Amino acid sequence: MEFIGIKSSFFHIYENRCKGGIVLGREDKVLTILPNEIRERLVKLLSEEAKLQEIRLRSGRPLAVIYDNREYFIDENGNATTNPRQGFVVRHKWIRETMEYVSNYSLYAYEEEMRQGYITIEGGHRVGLAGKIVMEGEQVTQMKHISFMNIRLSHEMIGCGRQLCRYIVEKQRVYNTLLISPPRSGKTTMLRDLVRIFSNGEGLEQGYTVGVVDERSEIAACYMGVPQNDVGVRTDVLDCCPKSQGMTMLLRSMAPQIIAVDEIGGSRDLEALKSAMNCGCSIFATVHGENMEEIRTKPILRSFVEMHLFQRYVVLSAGAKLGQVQHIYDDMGNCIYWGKQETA
Amino acid sequence: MGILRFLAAIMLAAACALYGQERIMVMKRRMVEQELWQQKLLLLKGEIQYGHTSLPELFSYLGKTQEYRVDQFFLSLSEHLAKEQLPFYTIWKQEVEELVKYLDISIEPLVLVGQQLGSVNRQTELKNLELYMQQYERELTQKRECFREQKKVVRAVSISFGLALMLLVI
Repeated sequence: MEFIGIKSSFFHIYENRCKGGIVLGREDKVLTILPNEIRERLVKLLSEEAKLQEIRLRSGRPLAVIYDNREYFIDENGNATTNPRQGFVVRHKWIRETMEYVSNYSLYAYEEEMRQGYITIEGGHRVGLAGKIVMEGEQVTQMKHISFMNIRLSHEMIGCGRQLCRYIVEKQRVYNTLLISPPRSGKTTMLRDLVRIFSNGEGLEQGYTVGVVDERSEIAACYMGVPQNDVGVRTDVLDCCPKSQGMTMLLRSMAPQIIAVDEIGGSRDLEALKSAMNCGCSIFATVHGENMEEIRTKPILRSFVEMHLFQRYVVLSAGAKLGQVQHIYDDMGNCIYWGKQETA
Repeated sequence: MGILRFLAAIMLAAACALYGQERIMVMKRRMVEQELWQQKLLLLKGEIQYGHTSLPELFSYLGKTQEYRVDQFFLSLSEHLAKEQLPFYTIWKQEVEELVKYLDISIEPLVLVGQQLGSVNRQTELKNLELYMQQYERELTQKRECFREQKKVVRAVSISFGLALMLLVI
């Protein structure tokens, strides 16, 4: 019988991996959207939700979680195991019930979000959905028979961005900064904390007006228009807005000093970024990638580098520790920070 | 003595007539509630069609006057949805079973509405509501006819009974 001995670790409290930072969680909001049968089996994990990243509900399949970047199945007694046969099977009616709670008993009010494939709930957690898609021509019009859900827990790591401040601001000039990392390595988390730090002026000479284009509601995680994450006192958020249009709108109306966007890569993004930079705005952005070399091989991203659009490239390391800075490069490609240790 | 008897007879007749009138008022109030139910459904449909209001909020709004039993139904629904973590259909069925005792409407179509309310897309939601409203309109038309007939009967019986008692006493 495969049983992973992590049960004892569920009752310890873990600090943030970044020095001096604090992990915040909102497990109570996640509890409210789960049916009793599933909640009972996850209550242990949710008390240690700092490492709990995802909860996966699949109709007729065992209940699964991603905990500390590893996948486990939850058995009848709420214990974690790697053997799927021992997993507690999720019934379809519980998925339907979860949908009721997620949508506040009003699925009709979330049609637009469902077309995107997810709903953001209070607490900033994102519930990904999968089921039968109904198309009209080439447009997704609705999703029916939802049988798969992925609840991604929102985690803030307050303070994880402090280590970058000395490299991306000089006197009052904020450098255009690109965060590079593979998936699930903390680039959005880092971006969020940078937004917060600069908006509040924490440890800086001044606070900055920050505009966030939150296309997938991951940075601020707005619920009913209110950011569920702490993004600072001087931050304005455009929620669920395409990046290129959002940047233009922010420039026209909100006079941001810094614009933050997540996961750039398209040609429209490039045009919008150039436009924003020409207006004197600093940019914080993230992109998928393992390292600088990979960025240079991708056509659109390569042009970013060649045009010296960004003055700082921050490469985050893939691995167990979120938000760990591996390298920082300047616009000429010189490495100005090299290390695996966090700095003060 | 004769005058007293006469007075008593008049009072008996008046009492019977008033009792008949009181029964008519009760039936009329029930009729008003049934008409109000139809109006509330129309409001519900409008809010779902044009607004993005969630059902708990919508129910709270529909029940805010708290004057009629129908208002209490919506308010109670809203409160249960906010406080208890139960499937919508469970809460809906409980409340509907209480409502139909008072409102004297068919329970089965209403229960069917609750099976899908809030758990389907907007188009299907509206079609379900429209179907129920059409069924209810037919039911309401019959009830209006029934009420008109019953009103006449109750009035006639109460007055006749009063007169009969009056004659007996005199």
